[in-house]
Amino acid sequence: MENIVLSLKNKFSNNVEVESADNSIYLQTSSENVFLIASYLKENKLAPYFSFLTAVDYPEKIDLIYYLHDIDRNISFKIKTSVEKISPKIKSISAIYNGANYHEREVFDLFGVIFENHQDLRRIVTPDDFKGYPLRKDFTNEDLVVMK
Amino acid sequence: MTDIKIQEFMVNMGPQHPSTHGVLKLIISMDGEVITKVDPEIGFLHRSIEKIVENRNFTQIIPFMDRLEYLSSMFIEYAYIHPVEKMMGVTPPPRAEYLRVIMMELNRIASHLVWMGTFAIDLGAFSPFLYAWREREAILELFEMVCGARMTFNYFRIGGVKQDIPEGFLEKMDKFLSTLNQKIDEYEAILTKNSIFIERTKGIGIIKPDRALNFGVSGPNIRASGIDWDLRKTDGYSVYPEFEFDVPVGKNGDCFDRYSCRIKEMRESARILTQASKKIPSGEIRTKLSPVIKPPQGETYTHIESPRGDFGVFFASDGSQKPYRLKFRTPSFSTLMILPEISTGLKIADLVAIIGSLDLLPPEIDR
Repeated sequence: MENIVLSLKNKFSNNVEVESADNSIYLQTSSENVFLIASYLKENKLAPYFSFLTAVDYPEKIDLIYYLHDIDRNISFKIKTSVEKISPKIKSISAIYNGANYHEREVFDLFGVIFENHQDLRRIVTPDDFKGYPLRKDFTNEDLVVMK
Repeated sequence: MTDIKIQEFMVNMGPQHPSTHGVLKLIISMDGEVITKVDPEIGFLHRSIEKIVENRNFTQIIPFMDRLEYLSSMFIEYAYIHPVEKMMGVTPPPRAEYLRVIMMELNRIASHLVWMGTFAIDLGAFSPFLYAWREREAILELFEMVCGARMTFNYFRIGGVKQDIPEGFLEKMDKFLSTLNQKIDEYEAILTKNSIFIERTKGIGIIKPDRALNFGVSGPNIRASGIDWDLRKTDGYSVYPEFEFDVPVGKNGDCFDRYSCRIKEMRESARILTQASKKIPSGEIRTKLSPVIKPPQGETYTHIESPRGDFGVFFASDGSQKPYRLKFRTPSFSTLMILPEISTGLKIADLVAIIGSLDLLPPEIDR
């Protein structure tokens, strides 16, 4: 696993922080580099399995977290990046990993992050005419009652 | 004679349909009887569980986990509790771990029996459906002995399980297991060598291994395509390393291989249960913790092998009594993405066989 960490550090020297622990490699980067990292991992067959993509809403940013996996060597890759709160957008990786399709639609639906070049970006779990982005912390709706 | 126009027509395999195993809508474009495009639409069972749990404390969330996927509730409860315990550094006592494995493997057999019954009835075989329910009744009675409920158990707790098994549980379970292999032979006698079943499932819906990995397909669906990957063996969570069991792997990746993988998995689960019932240690069933559960700040992700595949829970904590973000990575959500690719060019009757063999479950897709 050390050579994978080294090759990642050599390829993306300045823009990406690479750490590793147990069987996991953690990559922290800015949102422009995610597409490059994903294509690098896919082309060199380092992470063929796409696990999931999610987002976490913080007061001043939205964190996006990607998990990819290498089944043969049992190594998991976590890519963490963040986008700004006002008009958040990032390049889609659904052309590289087809499994990102519904996950990106879900993050768009629930957080409002726009994935550029996604072939069919529309709401997935909420109705088509729903207003707002439900999983953001500041989401309000006249029907929403928070049970304490 | 006027010109004959040939056009595609769209069929709506709507949210209410006996073969979609729940509320799943498929908009199918067809050219005659051949499918050209399948467009799934989900969200009919969306209960916004991920938003609700942000306002509950950690023990209050456990009943919600039962309802996230009601056919394999024990797995979902364990999948939720595992990262919380990992972040807090809590290790449950050995007896609690054995009890958890026993409950999970019983639940795996119950879930596969439901799958088998509904898959067979979709293809027209009515009897296995009733036989599966007969076996499942014995398992649900075992669950009722332990936690009082047949379906939504609320049994696991952070640090262990809620209460110990009563007298007579292990004997009743051994009695059930002693006849299980013979009952599975009966099901195989009806289905596995039946020429109608073989015609309808062999060579249908082939999933190639590299496409499966790209989409995130897991569990028996990917093992049927030849990839030997079982999280019970690779990650070795809980006390699974102490048991001896095999992982069935298929060859072709068609519906028949997915069927035979799951049937063999039922036999392997019975093997684990017989070993567990002999080796279970005595002792405590719950570690002593303070009633106020507050994991430290941080993020973690763990995944387990549920009957449908790789079920994972991503947990981001801010140090308070409520989770900041809980994300459920469900296997059916990822498996649904491959359905349009493997069903184009087939007939609509084959689509029913494919949906049945993938073991999709809409509550898991929509959460």
